[in-house]
Amino acid sequence: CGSDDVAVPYVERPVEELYNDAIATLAEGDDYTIAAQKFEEVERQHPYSVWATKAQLMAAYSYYLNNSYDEAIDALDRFIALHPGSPDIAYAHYLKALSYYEQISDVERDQKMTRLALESLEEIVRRFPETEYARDAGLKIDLTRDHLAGKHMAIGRYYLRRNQYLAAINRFRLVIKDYQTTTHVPEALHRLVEANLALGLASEAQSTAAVLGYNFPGNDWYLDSYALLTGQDLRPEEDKGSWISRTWKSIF
Amino acid sequence: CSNEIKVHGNMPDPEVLAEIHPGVDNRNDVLNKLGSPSTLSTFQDNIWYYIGSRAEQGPSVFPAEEIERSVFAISFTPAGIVQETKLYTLEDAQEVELIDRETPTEGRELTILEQMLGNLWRQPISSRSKNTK
Amino acid sequence: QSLLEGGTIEEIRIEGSLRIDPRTIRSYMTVDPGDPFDAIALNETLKRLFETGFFADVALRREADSLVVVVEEHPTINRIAFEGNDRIDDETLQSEVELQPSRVFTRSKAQSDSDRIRDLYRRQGRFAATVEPNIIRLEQNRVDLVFEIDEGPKTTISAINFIGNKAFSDGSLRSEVLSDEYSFWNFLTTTDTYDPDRLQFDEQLLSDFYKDEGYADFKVLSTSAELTPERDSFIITFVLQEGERYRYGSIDVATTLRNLDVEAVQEAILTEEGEWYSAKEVSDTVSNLSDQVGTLGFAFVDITPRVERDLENKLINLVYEINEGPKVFVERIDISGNTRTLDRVIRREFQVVEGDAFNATKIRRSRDRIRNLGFFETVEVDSQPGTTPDRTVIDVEVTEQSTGEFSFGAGFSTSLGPIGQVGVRERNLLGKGQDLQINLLIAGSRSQIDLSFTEPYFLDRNLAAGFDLFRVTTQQDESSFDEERTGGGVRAGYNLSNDLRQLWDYTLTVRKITDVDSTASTAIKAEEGETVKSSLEHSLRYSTISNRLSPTDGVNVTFATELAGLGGTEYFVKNRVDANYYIPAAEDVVIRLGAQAGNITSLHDDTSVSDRFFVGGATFRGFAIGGVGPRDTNTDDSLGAENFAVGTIEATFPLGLPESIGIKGRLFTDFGTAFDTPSITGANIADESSLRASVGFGFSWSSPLGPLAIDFGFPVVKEDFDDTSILYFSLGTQF
Repeated sequence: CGSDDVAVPYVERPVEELYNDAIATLAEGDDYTIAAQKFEEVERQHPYSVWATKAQLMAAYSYYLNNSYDEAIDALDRFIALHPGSPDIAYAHYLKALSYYEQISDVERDQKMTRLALESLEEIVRRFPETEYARDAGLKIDLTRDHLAGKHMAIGRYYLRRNQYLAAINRFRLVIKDYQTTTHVPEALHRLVEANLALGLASEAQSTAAVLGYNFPGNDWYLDSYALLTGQDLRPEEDKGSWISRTWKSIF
Repeated sequence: CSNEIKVHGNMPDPEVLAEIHPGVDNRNDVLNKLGSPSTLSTFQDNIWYYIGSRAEQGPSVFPAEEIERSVFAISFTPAGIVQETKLYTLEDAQEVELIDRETPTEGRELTILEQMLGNLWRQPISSRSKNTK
Repeated sequence: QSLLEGGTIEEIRIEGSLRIDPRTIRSYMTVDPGDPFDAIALNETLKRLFETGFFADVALRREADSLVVVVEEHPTINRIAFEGNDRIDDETLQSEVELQPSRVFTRSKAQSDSDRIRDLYRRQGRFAATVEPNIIRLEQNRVDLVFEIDEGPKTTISAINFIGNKAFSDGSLRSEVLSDEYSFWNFLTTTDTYDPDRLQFDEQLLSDFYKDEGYADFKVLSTSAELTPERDSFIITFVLQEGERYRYGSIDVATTLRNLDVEAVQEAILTEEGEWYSAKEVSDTVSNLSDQVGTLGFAFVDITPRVERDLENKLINLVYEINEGPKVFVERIDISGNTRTLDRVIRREFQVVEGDAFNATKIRRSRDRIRNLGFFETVEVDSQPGTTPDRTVIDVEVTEQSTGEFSFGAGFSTSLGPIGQVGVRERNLLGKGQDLQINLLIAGSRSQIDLSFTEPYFLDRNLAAGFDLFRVTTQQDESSFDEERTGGGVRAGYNLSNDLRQLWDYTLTVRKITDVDSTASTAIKAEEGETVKSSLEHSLRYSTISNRLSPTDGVNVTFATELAGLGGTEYFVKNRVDANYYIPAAEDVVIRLGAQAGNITSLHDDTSVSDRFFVGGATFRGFAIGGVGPRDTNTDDSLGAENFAVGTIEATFPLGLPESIGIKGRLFTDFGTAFDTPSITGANIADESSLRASVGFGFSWSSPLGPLAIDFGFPVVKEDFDDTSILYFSLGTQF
């Protein structure tokens, strides 16, 4: 019966030779998929050799280099299930987190990958706190959370621009409540000032602006809120975007 | 043909709003009469808001025109009894010019090529080249 | 000794592990050296080890004070192969099967994979298929897994019978159900194979059909499928109980809503006293009422029809109860699965905004609007509980599908000759919901390339705006010159109401009249050279037609006014009306009354041949293109008319052949006239405003090669200088 690995002919070979051949292909760096398949060949022909465990991880790494994230994650999941006690387990989790992290798409699109990345990054920080992976994971967690906050901001602005003030207010309050450490808080506060003023809730707008001013004194968004509340614009007159630019933006 | 009336948010009838009595009702009474508040004050946690609006939609190319708005604020004493209620309407509204600027976000912006090919060929092409460790 | 004699575990030894290293096994165990020999803990360990799925068997043994864990690992799969499959290739089977090389092999997984393969075959109508997994043992506890497949014959449906049907014939019921009887020439259909799920769906179709015809008590008593003696096809028998046929009795509306005026909702009620009962009419009325009450500003509405059967005089009395629904609000709308489409492109289709009242009809309509975008394979909308009991979160789950289309077509028509067409279209450009198409057409007498872009929500409004670029070269043989039109335009369109749409279209076109034959009419020769038309066109389109592909009822009227002269060389006003009225007559016969009329009036000097009307061909069957209208009798060139009016009466009807073939016949008469080219005079110019008429018949067939239309038109009243053409034929992409 025919072999189902089209690229790599099915030949029984000693394990070291197979492994080194795979390492060589990986080092050349021109076709990571072939490298991944060669590592999988090691594991398939010699599942019980010590090389098989290492080969499984290297196969995942090759798929990752080739941006074949699904295959990489699939191989890593198998490695983690088969070898929970292995010394490389932290690296496997880290590689899996990276595979999700690099698929994060922009805020206006589905954020499933962002959530998966966040989960696996938090798992690294929780289970392997002292490794260098945890340090990098901590950094990436902030960026991922900032990204999730960005999605709520985009939806909030969508509703604000359609004068749906209640819907907008609740989205921006969500950012302030659940994403306090992100870069979007100043803007969220200013948008609340805008929405509350539009509803005629002057006191609500003032208290929000006060919090914005207190926590982000020099921030541009505070200057915008201040201008809105007091009617004077403290900044040099900047082009607020003529009708043409607004139309242009709505197409592209 | 009569234009369509669109109701947004929580817009209790005026008679129902009149049944909220300061100094008498507590939070539960308000919840039973009006349901849970549309939103809470962001930084003063003793104020509830019930926000709703009614708009008339003419031909669908023109945005609906708001004809009535009810923003009902209820403030509570520390003991949780209704202290004061105030109804804001369209007259209280202020014209606000929204700022166009947006806080930047990263995230892999699908390149045009990727989007076009994304259809014909599902395997995503990553724009960044990888350096082998 | 037995495990339970107490004492503590000194040491734990693992025997029989090959691939799984001992450290892994220890990490799954819940007992450690130093723990007591405790039955519950040991049992838990045993359970955990089995749950890993690595082991065929696990046993615990005690030797003195050490706990011995004896494991027997499942073999790992070396390779997977399929034998005996020719209808379905290895690759499809491989993607259907869960087991993969170097995965752990278990008998239960192999069995479930065989079931999956068998289901694949059942879906193709091969119910006799059998799948046997067996393994070839290799050294190092590895196995090769081979699925032995016996596909068996294709089990088709040889006959569909009905018992107990008095009101409707077997034939008409057969056209109601999805399953078909097998027929050799109908090779395209896949619904002539036996499929139990489809039979269940057929029962539902029968029930809907009867309940819409007044049979409220209709029931399908049983559905049986017997194998024919030759065991290669099934005979399906539906046993029905029709029950009584009901009419509507009293129809009332009862409401507890304080200030709802019952009269205001009467027009939403479709069910009228005395008419035959129909379940669909009742459910349509409920959603109409819900819409109507919604537009009157009532947020929380719950409408239930109360049905009372009056058995003696076979009447159904209805009371539509309109009550206050539960006060539930939408907390958030979460959209997921949109890997390419932007969030706002989906969110803007929503009739409900976050914070609004929860209204099931509006949410259902929003889901349908998202589905109509055509960007998604599936659109699922369901609600999850929110943070408080009176709030829900709406979850919208979409799966993207390819919205890029690459189309090419070929065909032939008497007006254009052989036709080749290539087109690329992206309906969801950059995930922004924008539409971009580029089409190239090469035909005997015309070649055309055009590009068109549309943004459906320009300036975030319900305003579809876009631009077009085009270049068309045509050989106007009937007027012996070639014309080249190059230009572009911008357009905007919007709905004034559900049925009325308004469009504005500014176009700038450079027209070159070239290669005028030496024998051409002097009038045509005078027009050689270049003209520039810069015009604004306004049009109103009213249409109540439900099914645009093959309309059976309703009317559509288009009224367009074109003003040329905003610059350019041409100055004229051109008005045109197109109207069609479709009347459903007896059994699937549709009568169409059509009328087209137009006028072009020059505002400066003379109209150009490029703008005048050329009546004939598809618009006036029996006459060639430009066959009716002013003509230079010496050179037999059609000069184009400044006025025209054509009427049509047409009846289309099935030819008694089963509907699935898609052949329809038609009888028609076209009548009308085209006249007036005031600026062109001379003895040889014939220009009559008399009435011409033709009668004829034709066929249309949606063949596998594309739509085919043949019309034979016979002119009965004509001017002697008119140019007639009996046959009009077109196959393939329609022109």
